[in-house]
Amino acid sequence: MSKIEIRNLTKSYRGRCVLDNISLSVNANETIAILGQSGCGKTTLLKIIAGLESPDRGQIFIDGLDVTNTPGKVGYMPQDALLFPYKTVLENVILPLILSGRKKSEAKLSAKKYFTDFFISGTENKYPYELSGGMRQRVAFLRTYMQSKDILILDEPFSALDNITKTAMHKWYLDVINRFRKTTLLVTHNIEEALFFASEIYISSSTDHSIKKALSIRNNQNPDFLHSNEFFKLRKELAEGHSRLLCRALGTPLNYKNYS
Amino acid sequence: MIKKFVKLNLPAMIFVLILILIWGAVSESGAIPQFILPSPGATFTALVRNLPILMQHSVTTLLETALGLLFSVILAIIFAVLMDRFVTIKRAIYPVLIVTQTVPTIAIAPFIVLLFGYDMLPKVILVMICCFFPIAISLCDGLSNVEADYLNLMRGMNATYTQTLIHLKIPFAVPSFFSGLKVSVTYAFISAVVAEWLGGTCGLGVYMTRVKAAYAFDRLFASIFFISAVSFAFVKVIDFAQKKVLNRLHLDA
Repeated sequence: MSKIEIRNLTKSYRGRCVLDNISLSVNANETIAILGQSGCGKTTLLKIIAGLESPDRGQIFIDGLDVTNTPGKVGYMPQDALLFPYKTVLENVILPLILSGRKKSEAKLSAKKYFTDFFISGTENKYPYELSGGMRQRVAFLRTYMQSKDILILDEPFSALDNITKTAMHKWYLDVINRFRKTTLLVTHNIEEALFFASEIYISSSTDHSIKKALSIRNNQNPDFLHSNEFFKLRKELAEGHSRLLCRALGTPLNYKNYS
Repeated sequence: MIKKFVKLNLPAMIFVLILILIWGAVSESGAIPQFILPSPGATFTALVRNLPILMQHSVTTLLETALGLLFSVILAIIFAVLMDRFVTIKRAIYPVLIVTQTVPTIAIAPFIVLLFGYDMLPKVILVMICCFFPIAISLCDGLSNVEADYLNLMRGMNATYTQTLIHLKIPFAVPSFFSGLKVSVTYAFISAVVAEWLGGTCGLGVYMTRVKAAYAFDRLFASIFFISAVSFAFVKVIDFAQKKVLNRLHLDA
């Protein structure tokens, strides 16, 4: 049985279709990536899975149970870190535990254990404005992780970071994936990111508002994968698929020569 | 720092000086009799001479203002939270609050005095009426206008309304609360003085009616300046508190 199953999901805003009859499933402890350009409904899909928006039609199942319109079933991390500026890093991280009724001292104790794994030790009593972009993002990751959900929904988690920080974060996150195995749904517009983390990649199209499976990958979770021939081959394959959709959306003919 | 202060405030200081010079010229020229328009010098002398008695009266007025402000803040918080929590309550009350803001204090003051007598209560009530609306409206807007992404984040963590209020809405509404409070504070002291005009045994308003009846306009002018100064001090105190609180919450960036 799939961990997450999305069945025939449809959503429109003011008569404009954003998602049209989307169906996909994710197996337990697997990371899948959804690739697509801005405005193709990726964030809407994540919000519906997280129970924060209602679909017009369709259902979401987690472990076989219908959880459509039910918030709090997955750990959802929005695009921005969204840390609370008036709370210290530790207070930000323990918020999910406090909200679920845990004692503050107990929550602090259990959160502190993860600070080293998330490369933020020493920042416990700092405020978000004192941290770098990458650190803020890692704090937001830890806060999502503290929700103790089996499923993580990540909305372009690295998009706001500069390239150097992003590369460092990628390596760190790969380690996190391997250590704390979770079922993860990652939305991104970065092909390398999708190839690096996901075992299955879907491409989201803004022309027919569909999400289609593009490819499955194996053995990508090692640092050498980034420099392997397979990586370049898959990247080309994905880029062509992606640009075919983009050209269709823009109404222009596809020319691979220009693309490579 | 002093240089910066002078640079920022020099135009205003020069303008005030020009106004005082015009006032002095009009008063000295005899165009308006001195007993009606006392000269700046006479007003200043009256202010210095009567400072002890002004201070004495101001204690009562300050107490009325402080109590009125305190109760209006408590009431405004309760109403703002109720309006934020229940849309129906907001739809019922919010437009009424906006309309009632247009009613001038001086128009309702006699009615309040008639209802509650001549002691401190009607003055406190009048201050409350004046201060309640701006705080309630600003605070309600602050609570309702929290970024949707933050609200989604809280919903995603299964937060209840009370939890969302404590952890998210109240801290983010603090700047709005202070902007409402600043508007209120400007009127609070004046409202107490206006209420005192209509009756009472002590307070700056009572003092003003007495000196007016005695045609001691220099003292009347002195009391006007004194009231302005106190109101200004109130605004500055709130400004300072706002800076400190926002700084503490790291919301000042």
